[in-house]
Amino acid sequence: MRYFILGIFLCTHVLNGFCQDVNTVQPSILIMPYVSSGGNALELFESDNSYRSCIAAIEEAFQKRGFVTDDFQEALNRLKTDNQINSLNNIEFDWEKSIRDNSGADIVVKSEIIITPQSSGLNRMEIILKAVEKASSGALASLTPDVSIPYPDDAPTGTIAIKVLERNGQIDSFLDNLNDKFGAMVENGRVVKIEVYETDDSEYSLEDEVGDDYDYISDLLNDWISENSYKNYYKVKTGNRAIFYEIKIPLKDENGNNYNESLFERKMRKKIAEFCEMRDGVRPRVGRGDYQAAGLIKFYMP
Amino acid sequence: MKYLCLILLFCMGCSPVVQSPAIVSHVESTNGIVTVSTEGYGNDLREIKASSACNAISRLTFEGIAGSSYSRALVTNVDRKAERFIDGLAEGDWSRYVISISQESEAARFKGRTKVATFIVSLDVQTLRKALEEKGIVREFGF
Repeated sequence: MRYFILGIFLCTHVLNGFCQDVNTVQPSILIMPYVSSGGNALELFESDNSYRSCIAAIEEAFQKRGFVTDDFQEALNRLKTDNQINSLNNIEFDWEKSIRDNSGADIVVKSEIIITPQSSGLNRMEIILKAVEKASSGALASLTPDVSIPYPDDAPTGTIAIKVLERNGQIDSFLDNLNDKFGAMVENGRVVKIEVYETDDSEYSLEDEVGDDYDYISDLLNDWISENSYKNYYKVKTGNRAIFYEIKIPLKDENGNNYNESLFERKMRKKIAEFCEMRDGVRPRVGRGDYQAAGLIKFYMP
Repeated sequence: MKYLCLILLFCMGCSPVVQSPAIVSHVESTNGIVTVSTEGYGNDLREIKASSACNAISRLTFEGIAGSSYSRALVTNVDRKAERFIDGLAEGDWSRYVISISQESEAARFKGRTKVATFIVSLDVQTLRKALEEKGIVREFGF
C-alpha cells in the first residue's frame, strides 16, 4: 500500500512536470519619437521637456498594461557613445535607423505627438502610434487620432498625453490589436522577402540545369523554399532573378530556440552554393546583398 | 383530476425560472476601472448581489460594455477554459474582480421565489485581463 501511494505521488509529480506551460517571453518595445511633417523628432526630444514628458507618458501607458519597454533615452545615450558624439544636433547619419538597428527591441512604436494651438489660446494634443515588428518591418497596429484634448500652456503635457491615450479606451484598443497581430505572427511565422539576382559577373544562371534530373537552379530553390517556409507559405516570381516574397519563417525552431531571418539566410546561402555545384574543384561563393531593409534578404548568383 | 392538478402544480414549482438576459449598462470608465449598472436575480439579497457581479463580469469579458472604453470583448473565443471561468465566477471568484458593489434598487419579485434588483458594480479590468491571461483564455502578449 505504501509503495502504491508513493507510485501515485511520483506519477502525479512527473505528469505535472510534463504539463507545465512554457513561460511566455515578452517582446520588448521601443517607443520612438517621430515627426511626419519635416521636423526633427530627435531635436525636439533633446530640447523640449514637455515633448519628453509625452514620450514618457506613452511608455507608461504600455508599462501599465504589463508590456516591457526599452528606454528611448538609454537608446539615445548608446547611440552617442557608439558614434563618439556629445550632441545629436546636425548629425548626418540616419539616427532613426541607427537606434532601431542597435536596439534589442522586437517592436518599434513610432509615436507622433501633434500639438495645435487654437484661436482660443488653448492647445490641442493628438497622438498617432504605429507599431512595427522590427525584424520584418511588418505593421502590427496603429492608433489614429480620433481624440484630441484642449489644454492651456501651463498644463502638464505628460498628464494630457495620458488622458488622450485613455480617452475612449484608445490605448487599450491599440494594445489589444498589437497583441492580436503579434499573436498571429507567432502562430503563422514572420514574413521575409528573398531576392536572388544574376549579375554580369555571375558564372551561374538561375536557369542552369543541374543534377541528375536536369532541374533549373531556380526550380530547386523553389522546392527548397517550399520545404523550409513555415506552413509552406510563399509566393514566387522568376526571370533573370528569383523573388520569393511573403515567405513565412517560424519564430522558434523545432527545439523551441529563437529562429530568425539570419539563420534562414545562412541556410539558404549554403543551399544556393550546393545547387550550383563545384566547377573546376572550386566551391562557388554566393554573394550577399547589402542590408537595405528589415525583412529583405538578397543574394547574388556566384 | 385533483391528483393531476397537484402533479402539475408540483412540476411548475420545480421548473427552472427562465430569466431574460440581464440589463447591463455603462455608468463610467476611468483608468482601468469600468462601472456598470446591472440586474441580478436570486432568492435572497446575497444571491442577487452575486448574480449582478457575475452578469457584469460576463458582459465585460464576452461582449464588452457598450458606450465604455471597453466596448470590445476581452474574450472572443468561448472554449472549455472560458466555460470553467464562468463556473468559477458563480462559485465566488467574482469578488476578485469587483472593486465596489452597491445596491441601487429594492429587490422586486421576478418569478416565483426569484427576485430581481439592480446593483452598481465597479470592475477592475486589469486584474480581470491578467486572470484571463493566466488561465489561458486570453493570449498572453509575447513569444
